[in-house]
Amino acid sequence: MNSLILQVATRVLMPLLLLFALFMLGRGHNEPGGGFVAGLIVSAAYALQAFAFGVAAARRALLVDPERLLGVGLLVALGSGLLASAQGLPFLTALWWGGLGSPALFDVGVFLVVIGVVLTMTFTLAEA
Amino acid sequence: MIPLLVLSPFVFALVAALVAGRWPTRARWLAVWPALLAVVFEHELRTRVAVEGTQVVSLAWAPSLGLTLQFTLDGLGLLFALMITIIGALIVLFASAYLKGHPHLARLLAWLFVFMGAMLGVVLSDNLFALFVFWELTGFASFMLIGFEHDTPAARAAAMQALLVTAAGGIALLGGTVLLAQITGETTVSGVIRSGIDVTAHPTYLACTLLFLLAAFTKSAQVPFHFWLPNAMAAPTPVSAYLHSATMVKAGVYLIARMMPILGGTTLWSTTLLVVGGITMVGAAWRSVQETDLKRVLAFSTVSALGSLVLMIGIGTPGAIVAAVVYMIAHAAYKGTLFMVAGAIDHEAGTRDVTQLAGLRTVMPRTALAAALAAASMMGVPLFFGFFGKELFYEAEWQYAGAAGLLLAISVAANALSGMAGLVTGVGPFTGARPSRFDAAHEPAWPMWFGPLFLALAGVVFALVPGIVNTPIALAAASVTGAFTPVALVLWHGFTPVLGLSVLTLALAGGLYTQRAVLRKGLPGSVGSERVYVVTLRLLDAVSAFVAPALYSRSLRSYVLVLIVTTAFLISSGLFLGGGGWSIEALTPLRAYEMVIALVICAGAVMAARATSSMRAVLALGAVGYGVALLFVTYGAPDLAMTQFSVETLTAVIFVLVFRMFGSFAHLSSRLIRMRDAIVAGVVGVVVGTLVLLVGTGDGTSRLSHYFAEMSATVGHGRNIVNVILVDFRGFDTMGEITVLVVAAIGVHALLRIGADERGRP
Repeated sequence: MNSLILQVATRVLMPLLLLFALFMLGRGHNEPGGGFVAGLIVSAAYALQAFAFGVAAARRALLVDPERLLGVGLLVALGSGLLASAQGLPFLTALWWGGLGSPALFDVGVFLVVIGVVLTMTFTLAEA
Repeated sequence: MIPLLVLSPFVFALVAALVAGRWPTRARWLAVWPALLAVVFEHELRTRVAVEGTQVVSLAWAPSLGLTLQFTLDGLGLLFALMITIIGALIVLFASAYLKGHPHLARLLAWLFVFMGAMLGVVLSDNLFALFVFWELTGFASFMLIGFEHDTPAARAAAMQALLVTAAGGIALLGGTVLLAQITGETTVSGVIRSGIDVTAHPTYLACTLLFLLAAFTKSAQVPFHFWLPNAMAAPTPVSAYLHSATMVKAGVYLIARMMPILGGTTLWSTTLLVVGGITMVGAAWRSVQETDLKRVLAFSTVSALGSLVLMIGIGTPGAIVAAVVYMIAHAAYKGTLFMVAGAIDHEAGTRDVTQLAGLRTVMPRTALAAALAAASMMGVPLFFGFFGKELFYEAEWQYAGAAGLLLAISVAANALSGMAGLVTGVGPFTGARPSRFDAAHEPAWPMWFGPLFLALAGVVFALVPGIVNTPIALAAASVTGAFTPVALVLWHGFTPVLGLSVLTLALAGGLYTQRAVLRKGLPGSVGSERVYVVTLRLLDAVSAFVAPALYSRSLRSYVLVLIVTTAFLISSGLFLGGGGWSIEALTPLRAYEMVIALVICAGAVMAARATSSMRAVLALGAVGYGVALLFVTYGAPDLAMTQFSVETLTAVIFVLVFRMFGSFAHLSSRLIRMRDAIVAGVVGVVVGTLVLLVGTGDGTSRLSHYFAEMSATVGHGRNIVNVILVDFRGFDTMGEITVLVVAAIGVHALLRIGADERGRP
């Protein structure tokens, strides 16, 4: 597919969508949002990129393999839980340092996993 | 701190994968970690356990459910932990050179570390359920390691066989644990002993004991479950040395020793152990001399040694337990050495056939020295630690009231055959004239001779300075017998009958070695238990070929049908049969714009059902999804709505990608099936719709939402209840969910990529 309208629109929308996703991720603890939906928005952005410029371009724009994000995301989530274990507290006990907490790190893990899952599926299906 | 150290090899598996993957030449440095762990365990043993007695350390897991990961540090556990970490360090060192340049070195090392963590878990867990989990994990690591060369069918078959046999034992272990927990109400070994309940008097004692023994016998390759171990030699040599000789196969022996204070002391216990251990000891020793492959000779002699250990625990006197502990240490040292030597020979000479190998001492002097020392220890030559093992073994049998003569006779026979196996594997390849084809062989890199030499020398040092091992041995024996008695090993007992037996064993071993060619030919050997395994598997296949099609229709539609009908049935039985005091009038009244949204959803659904092309159906379903998301907005659930919108969008994208190859539907359902689907869909819609409207009335829900609203602000430090529940209150659930997502993504990836590769596309 080679649509100029879609390509131009994508160029404009991509940064906005990514910023919006980060915004969602950041505010999730207090306002509607969170890692899951933020991950979905990022995935939608790259799916759009894939439709406009092709999967190869979208893969390049993502900078990392989505397959790798699967593992990294899971490890981040696991690690945020193990932080508590390291202090002798039960696994996944929330730790807080001022306004920042280990649940936020867990949310980042969810965020990465969601991006990894959706884009792994989308990219492999588009390439099949 | 200790619990984290015990679990640290799991983390180190990732480190190993990264380090060995990126800098394969630096992989040998990974051995430092297990070596450090060994220092820690040694320190714990000498300064804490020896002085203050058994230490219990725990890691809180879910204390609100009474789940803690509890580790016991006592003599037996720490002795095993020391063997696991010391030999583990040497094996990692060895493997880094043995598989130098192998593309999957990182994978092997990572799994070795996983195994190390699991094995430490087995020997240090106090909780029997935790022990079970670690036990199965060792079996799984073994599966991955035996099948390391996964493109050879023999390796795959051997891996599967080892997994099936030991996992069957694992199930028995779980069963035994459950029974024991029912008898005593305790789930920890220490708890069961503390409860003071006489398990042996309980009606289910028989079943409980047999289950535990079944687990131990499968893991420790006792007859008739022994056949998997020689086949497991398909694994790379470092794996055979570590898992299938020095550590994992001793887990069964460990389990028997650990359970002896609880289940032991009965005729059933000792008779079973004596018979099974005795048959295994003699039978496997006999088989070992008929083999010509270095590793298979060692494998059968390992099975024989495991039989001896089981036999000694069966005797059960304090002397026999000390003998078992000494024998086990000696065996781990010399057998670990000989396996690594076999690996070095294979690596340098390119064959493991003992009838071909000769004269390598001149080209591999250090390896030859290690092999000779280990062989001497294995034969039980005085001045070597193996000698102590055999002496104490004979001594215990000599003093045993029941059938001492028979036991001594079979032990001497088995030990003589083992001694011969020691000569075959440790001396034979290095002596004699060197055939010219081995001229190119030379001493391997230092990581490959350091480990064997280190272990072989340990066998000498322990014998000459037994003072350094007295305390650990006494502590380990005390964990089994329940009472601490100091142990003082001495080399020279004077001229005793036992010494005579040792000399006889040595002489027999030497004599048999000269007749080795005769022994290998035409003598009856194998017992047919492997055939039973094969036939059982075929039977299972036949049964499942009969049963599976009935349960597994291979049609997504029929699964969905079952799922939603069940859901609707459960909900409606709650709504209508429970008589839960509600009426249609009491349901949340619908607002006008909600009616509009509902109509849009219905229209979308009808369109999807009537669509004749897949693209149209996807779009119609998207409309249904957006409609539902709009409903979420009206019900004040912005989080859900946002997520639903995004999910619907991406689902549509994925559907489009999947269906873009198809045009119109090739087959449409028959009239009858459409009628059925319409009825099901209608009923489910009405039931779920009623439920939603009922929930909206607010009965019974207010308490929960108030609770969460309050708790998430105070405890969760967040005002968005949904998010706080997801990432904090129900964090573990979310963890499970994202894991499932990852598995699904890997599944999609694997299915499509493998298909693409087979069609010859990138």
